[in-house]
Amino acid sequence: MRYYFFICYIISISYLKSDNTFKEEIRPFLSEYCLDCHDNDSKEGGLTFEDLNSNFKVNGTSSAWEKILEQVEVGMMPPEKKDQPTAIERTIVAEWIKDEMDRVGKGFTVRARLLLPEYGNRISHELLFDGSVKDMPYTPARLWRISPHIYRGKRYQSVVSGGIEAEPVSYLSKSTGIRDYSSQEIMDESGFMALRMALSDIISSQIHDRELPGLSYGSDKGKPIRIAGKESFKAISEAKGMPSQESMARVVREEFNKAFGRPINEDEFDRYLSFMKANIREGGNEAGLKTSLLAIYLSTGAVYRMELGRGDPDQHGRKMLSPQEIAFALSYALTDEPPANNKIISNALSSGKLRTRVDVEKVLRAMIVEGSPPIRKNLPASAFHRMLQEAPHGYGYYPRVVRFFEEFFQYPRAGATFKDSPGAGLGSRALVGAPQGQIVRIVNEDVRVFEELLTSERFNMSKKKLLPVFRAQFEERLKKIPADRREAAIKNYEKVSRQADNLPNDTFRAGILHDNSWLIAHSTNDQNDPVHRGIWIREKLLAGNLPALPIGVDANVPEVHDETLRQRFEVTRKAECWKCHKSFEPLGWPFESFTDRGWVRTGMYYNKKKKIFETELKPDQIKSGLNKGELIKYSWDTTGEITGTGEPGVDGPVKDASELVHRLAKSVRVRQSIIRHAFRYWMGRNEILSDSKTLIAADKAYINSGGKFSEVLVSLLSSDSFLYRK
Amino acid sequence: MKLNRQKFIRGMALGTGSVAMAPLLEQMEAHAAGRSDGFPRRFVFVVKSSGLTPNGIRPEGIEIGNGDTLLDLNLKDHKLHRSMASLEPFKNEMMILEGLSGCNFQGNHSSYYGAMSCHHSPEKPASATIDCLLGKLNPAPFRNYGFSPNGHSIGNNYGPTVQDTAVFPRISAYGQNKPMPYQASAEKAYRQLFGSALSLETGGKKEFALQANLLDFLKDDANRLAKRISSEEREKLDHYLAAFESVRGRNDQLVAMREKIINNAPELTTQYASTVFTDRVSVFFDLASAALITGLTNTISIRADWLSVKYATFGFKNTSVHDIGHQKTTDNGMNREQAREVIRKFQIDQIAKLAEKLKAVPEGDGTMLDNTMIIYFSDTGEAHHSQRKEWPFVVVGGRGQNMKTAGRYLRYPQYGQQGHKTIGNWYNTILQANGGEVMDYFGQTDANLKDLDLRGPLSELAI
Repeated sequence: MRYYFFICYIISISYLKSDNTFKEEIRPFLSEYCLDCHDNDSKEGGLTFEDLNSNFKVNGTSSAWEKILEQVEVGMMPPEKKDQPTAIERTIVAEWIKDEMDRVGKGFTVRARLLLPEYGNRISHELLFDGSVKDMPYTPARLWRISPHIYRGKRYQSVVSGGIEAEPVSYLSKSTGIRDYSSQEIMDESGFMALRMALSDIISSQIHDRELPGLSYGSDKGKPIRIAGKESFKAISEAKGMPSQESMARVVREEFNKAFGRPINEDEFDRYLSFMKANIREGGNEAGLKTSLLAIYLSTGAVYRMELGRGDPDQHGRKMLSPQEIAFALSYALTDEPPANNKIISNALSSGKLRTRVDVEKVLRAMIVEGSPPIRKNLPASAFHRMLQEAPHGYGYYPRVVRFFEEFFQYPRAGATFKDSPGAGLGSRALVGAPQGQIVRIVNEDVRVFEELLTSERFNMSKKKLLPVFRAQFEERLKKIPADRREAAIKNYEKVSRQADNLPNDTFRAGILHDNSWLIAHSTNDQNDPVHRGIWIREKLLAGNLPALPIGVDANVPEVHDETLRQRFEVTRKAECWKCHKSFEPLGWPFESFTDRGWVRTGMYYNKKKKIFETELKPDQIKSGLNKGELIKYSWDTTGEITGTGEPGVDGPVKDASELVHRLAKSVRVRQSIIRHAFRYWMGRNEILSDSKTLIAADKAYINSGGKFSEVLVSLLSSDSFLYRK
Repeated sequence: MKLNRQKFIRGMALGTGSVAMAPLLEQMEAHAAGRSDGFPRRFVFVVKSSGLTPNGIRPEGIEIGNGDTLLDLNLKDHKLHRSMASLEPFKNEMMILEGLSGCNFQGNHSSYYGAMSCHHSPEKPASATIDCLLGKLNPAPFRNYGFSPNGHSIGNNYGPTVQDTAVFPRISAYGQNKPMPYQASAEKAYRQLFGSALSLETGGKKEFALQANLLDFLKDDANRLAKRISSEEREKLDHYLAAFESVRGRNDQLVAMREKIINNAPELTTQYASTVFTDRVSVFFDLASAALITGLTNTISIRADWLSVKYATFGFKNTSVHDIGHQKTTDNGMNREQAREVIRKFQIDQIAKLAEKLKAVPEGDGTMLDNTMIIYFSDTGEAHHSQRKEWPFVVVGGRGQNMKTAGRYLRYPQYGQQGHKTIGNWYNTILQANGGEVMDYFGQTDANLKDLDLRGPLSELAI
């Protein structure tokens, strides 16, 4: 309750006279927490705030406040050993600075930055979860640009040589985080030009039958790919003279439905049809058809999803999404298909059962029970068939659920990480396919999902464990194989299991962070990357903040071949580096247990030419190399430390990667951090303080259900944050 | 539609703004500024992947010694490197620029956007690149135009590379998170650039004429929606409406240029459909010269090759540029430096042909080449696994562009030495000469060089 007044206070201070707030609230904050080191005498880091006033119009003053804002939000100042302001105090000061920046027209950059997913953690974790905020959650009304995946769901893809399919837009967000974010996805001039160009390509390719050059590799090498034009388009483009009324009406109705995800109304039909007729009269059948199709596809309603809240307003000034809006929101929350393609949603919509939160919850539960079949994307055939056998349906297969874990853990980046280092390679498909299979399995089992993802032994590639599993699966499969093909299948199995015999006998791998894919995705061309691994854990699992990389920082680690990576990283121990690096490097070093390709490290040597060997030498080669003095052994250090959770069983030194993940999996902060990221992904925006209720409910849903991710989903997608607009 | 600046600023103040808004404002200001003096300043950026080494472009007889001092020599006293023989006739209007660094924007064998923006930005652009900044300063119907033999297609950012549609080679950007698409299909580039005035089977003047209808229709459609939503949500619509206006403006210019386009459009030959890599690159250069001469654009970027490219024409059927970088002998027995020389010669020859064409067009007291600067460099600096302590450039033409580049071999003192400069200084020089905003530092600064004064342009080139 005490906090509630503070929150009201935060909201109301912007209406107070700025000078008073400065004197009564902000200046005392500076005196208490900053001036010890940043007064005119000490000037720590060359900074003094002793004479800092609230005249934000002066550039020097506003930039000093911006520095303070970053430190207050990130939580790096005051230094650990000094007294710390409370979460409320930090929030009050941060809000005051942003308001003052707004007041003099300098707030845009700061505000816009806070809309980016990578700044999501800037909102106080404590205030979001301590229950003090009682505000009613909502999402600002918005237009949300159609994502590349939704275009795929609408079948807008151009097929180019080699049969590669491409969507007409790309995400504008960074590839290292959540992709589909409403604040970032905007259609401006460059976007419009690119979309028009791509759609025009797609239309041109459908107007007539055509042939493309084939693949440059594989068994079908050089074989041209034939693509048939669309019959409804050809009825216009290939008609002699003015095409028939029916053929034009058909195209308008069908293409509108495809573009908007709903049937066209009469007024719209008249407009589009007469537009098509005029274009055909003016420019001929083909050019007229193309232009009219572009008008449908490029229409604002086809380019943006509308989430305006067309329902009735409630007493808090919020408007619920209309049933039609809810249908789209739910469909795109779990799938890439329009609602009409989903029976559960479209039945609920047509029978008027998408009006209340209870309706929404019912639909969601039905969708979770119904599940989705697995998607073949990125999966080797064998892995895909194994999935089909194990569980032909599951909610973990919904494309948007699969993608949440892809975007959260970022393991698919392994496939695109180019490796120059020596050592056994892995096919890029296997890299992405294997963890995807494990994650989906864990999600579908739906028991203590986060803990399982972080510590499950099934990520261990130990041949001792794997071979019996393969054997059992094969024997099961063999029963279904016709007698005349069994011999070939057995031969093939033996060949594959001989390959598996080369697998290392790993022992301690646990969870996705120990999987080759996650490790490679967070590595450089030829070495481990303690920085990005540590940052990933700090931001994604510990809801932590880091200041932006300072301009001018030299991100190069010296190339000294007879030193270990850790020794070479000594450069970051300089005070100006370590003040930030200490919050992530200790989380990244335990992964020295692995090579940069994610194999469990068993030995590391270099020869006289300073060439490094890790997994490529056989034991006898190592032995003789060491005996002859041709090889020198490296030793490596896997110790690290968890800080910042404030949880006694979690914070503290760790001896290796195994202890690291097991301790993280026990943390409340980690559980809540994953929920915050799920919130961001499914709401398409960063959380604000008023989303507190939604986050707490989702957290409780997870705990009370024994760790069901499906309950987190139901909770988030039937929350006020999801259903209400303002 | 008139954009209401007041409204945009209010939107910002309320914090309801979306992330993409700042670049638009910037763009509006640039249009308002508009240059009208003299002839257009044109630029062609030719960006290759690894293999453009300092030794491979240094003229004969130049000794750099320990590299500690500035070397400023006249090219006429030296014979160009044998791979650059085709540029001999242009020796008094070109420059070889060595010794600049760009250390702190690395990537995976490429600095990607960083090569032209001087930011660490291997995946998403952190800021506008020099080609796009220049495009903005030198307006034409197409602000910038890019050709790339392949790349990731629009919605295929990290999938396989394709070569018959618009692609993102991750080199140029209009601004933060605004990558510039390049065209990989010569046929499509032809239609985009020249189609407005030509009768073509597809994408020709008939379709172009209907674009006015389309833009009207879309504007009407957006305005219908605008009536139904409150002002705070209109910001994204405003962007969309602004896009229609801008395209309309460009189309009006194209209509006015109709005769010029018809007269200068190159002939659409079978080479446009060729899948042979070197054919495709040479068609891009043809299109580039025709587009410049017609006045369709003043700023062109050409992605000359890519690490995975295999120059089958030269007998490197199974050896990619990346393999060559790793010392793999080519199928026909060439070692790394021999193979790199063959590739470089091919690219230099294309540049020489382009320069010749531009030189044949009189402009004022000189020729078009005087007002066109061709800048040839690598996206990764001096080596395959580069440290980018050296980043060599070859500059051809542009004598009339306020920079003292004509006939010069200029080598800055090596990394860390007094007088050493960075590619950021070089880009600042180009910007200053073209009336652009001169920044203290172009892009990120290098902490290891904090003892050197690296502000502003290269004084040796300033007029």
